Amino acid sequence: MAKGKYEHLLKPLNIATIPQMMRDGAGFKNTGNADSIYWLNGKEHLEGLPLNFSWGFYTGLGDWHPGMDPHIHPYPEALVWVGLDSDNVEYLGAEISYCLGEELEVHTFDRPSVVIVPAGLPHCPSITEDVTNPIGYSFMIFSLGAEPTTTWMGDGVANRQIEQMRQVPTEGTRGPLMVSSFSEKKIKVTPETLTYGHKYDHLVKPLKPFSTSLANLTPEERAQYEKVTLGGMKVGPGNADDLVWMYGKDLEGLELNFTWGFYKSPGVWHRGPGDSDGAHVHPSDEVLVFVGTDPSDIDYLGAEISIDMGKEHERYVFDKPTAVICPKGVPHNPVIARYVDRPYAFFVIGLSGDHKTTYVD
Amino acid sequence: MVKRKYEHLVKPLSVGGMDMGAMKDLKVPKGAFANGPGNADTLVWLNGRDHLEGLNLNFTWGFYSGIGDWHTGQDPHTHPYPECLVFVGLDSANLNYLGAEIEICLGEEQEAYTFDEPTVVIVPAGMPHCPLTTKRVWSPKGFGFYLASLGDVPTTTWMGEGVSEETMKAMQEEAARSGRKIPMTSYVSEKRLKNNPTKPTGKYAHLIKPLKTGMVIQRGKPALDVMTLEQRARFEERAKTGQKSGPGNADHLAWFYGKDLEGLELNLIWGFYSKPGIWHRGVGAHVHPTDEVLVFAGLDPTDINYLGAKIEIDLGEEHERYIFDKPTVVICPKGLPHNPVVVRWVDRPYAFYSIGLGGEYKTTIVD
Repeated sequence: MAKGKYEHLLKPLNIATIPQMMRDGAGFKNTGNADSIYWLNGKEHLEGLPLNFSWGFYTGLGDWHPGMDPHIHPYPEALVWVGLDSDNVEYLGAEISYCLGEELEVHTFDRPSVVIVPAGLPHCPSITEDVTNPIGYSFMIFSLGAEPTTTWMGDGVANRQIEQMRQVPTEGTRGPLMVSSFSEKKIKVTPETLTYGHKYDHLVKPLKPFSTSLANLTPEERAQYEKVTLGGMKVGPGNADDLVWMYGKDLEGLELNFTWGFYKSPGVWHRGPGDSDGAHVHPSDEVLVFVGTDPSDIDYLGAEISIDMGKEHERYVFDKPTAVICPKGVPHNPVIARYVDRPYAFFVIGLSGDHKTTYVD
Repeated sequence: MVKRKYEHLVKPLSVGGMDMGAMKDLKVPKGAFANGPGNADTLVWLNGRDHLEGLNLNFTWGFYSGIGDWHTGQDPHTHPYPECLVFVGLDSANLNYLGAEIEICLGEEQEAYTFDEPTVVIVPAGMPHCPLTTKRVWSPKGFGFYLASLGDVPTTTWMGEGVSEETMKAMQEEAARSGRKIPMTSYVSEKRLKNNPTKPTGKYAHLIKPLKTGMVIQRGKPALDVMTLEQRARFEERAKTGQKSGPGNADHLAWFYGKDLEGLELNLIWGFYSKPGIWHRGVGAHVHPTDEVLVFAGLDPTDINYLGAKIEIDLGEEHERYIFDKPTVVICPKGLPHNPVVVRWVDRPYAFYSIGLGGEYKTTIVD
């Protein structure tokens, strides 16, 4: 990758591999949890953005954090389950049950979905009930805090786990992935304590794709799309076939918008307006995340991508899963897929409820 | 806008635009330049002196649909430099389709050779050639043609009976009066030849090469079934450098080297392209020990200024990037790193040809 003024804004995702100690039972490697995962946070990886996010592949059945849940965070977050069939963005290939609130209200879904968790709301256990796609599925956390911070409320946390999670890292090694604390108030999770109400239905939403062919858009979606494409921007050959885009108004008013889509073809993502080919700025920060879809190798992207950064159009090229940090006001794009060996996925995490865009050049 | 280091090397083909309609309408005596019904409908002609940074080259690109002689009364003619005349079709799905029948006379004997498939005709310096006659056109879009001439200024001595010093003078005067620049330096030979095509004896047959003999890529893949052993060896040699064909590379491609072109210090590539993406994977920029030009041309005969694609190319070790969506020539002086080529989008298949001023295509990968 070329050295340049903006190179600190491009981060290969593998800078944030979960430490082995976390995989050995002190944290998140339990039967339902990730087979492989990256977790980047604002403090260490994202130039101070009030954001931490994860990307991982999942195939196992069962509880993700046995005995530890429910838990809370001091920030809101969106938890996003997606499938790995690049021909069908509406296919998850798994069945998930998820508890919300102190009531442990159970919500079950089997298609790509987002669960919105307000700051301080107890949530989980998260249980993978079934996995029907032979290659599993993927999951992302978008949390609006620079540092992963959790208070565990489960009554099944072993003292050994507490000690391991509080362990001071040895010199030269990274600290724990997450700042963990343990609530004095414990909540017991048993079949008898689970509830099945509808108090939190509004926090669980299926991902609704729209086609970039503009077919089947609702008037509201079309208006939003036309707002984005105002000025003559057209979809380029490298862009997504189908794309999910959720805004703050879809996410219970969070200062967050995100996309999710599969990309299969080479070429530029945006044509125009004018000479920009999509070069634009936003009044809020965002992160562009390019990931692979091969669950056997989380470090494989399957494509070579170029992106321009800054008004100087400094070009960066990568062929590994990568996060591109776009601080507010920094021009970015065009994005060009130089080649694609295997469909890859891309998501935007924008730190505002809408996606105000001004094209430059 | 800040001037960039290599921008003088990237030129729209329109800098060499020839107003063929106006030239045909010039009020000059019959037989003046470009007066033949078979000549180009639209044409660009770029030369080393005016457009190509002094390269020892002039080249054309044009669309043709008319039937008949290209330079009525003026031929045969000679040049002080050798050249290749390349007749190509406009069906991007089939590199072997010309869609026309062409007759060209070669030598003082005016041996008339006829072909109806894409073809390169090699003309040694000083050899009389033409008349050139389009006998039939059955492609509804006509066909394309380009010259690759190894001289920096187009220079012609006309030997036909139908041209005179007076004709030339009148043409120059009319062109000056209308503000048009005639790029060609024209002379009239003292020796005049009557337009008299003769049956071919085969004496000049070696100068006529079907494009298919240079085919190296078909339908986006190496044309292993039609490659000669030598072509295959070249292909394998390139593969050893680690480069692979990218998704934006040619659907169909022919490549001729100096040894295929009667020893000229020239190599030629002609291809059709229809997809976005990078042209070469596994390599960045490369250099050659000889000059070359890369020509990106559209295939819409109704608009010679339409490319149908948006393309970026890097020049120099700094990888200065240049982006264009009009027919363009990129001049690559020897030793200047160039590439990668990345195609951003394609609305309509386009053509690419390179003219390398060396019989070999020596390449050194630089990054």
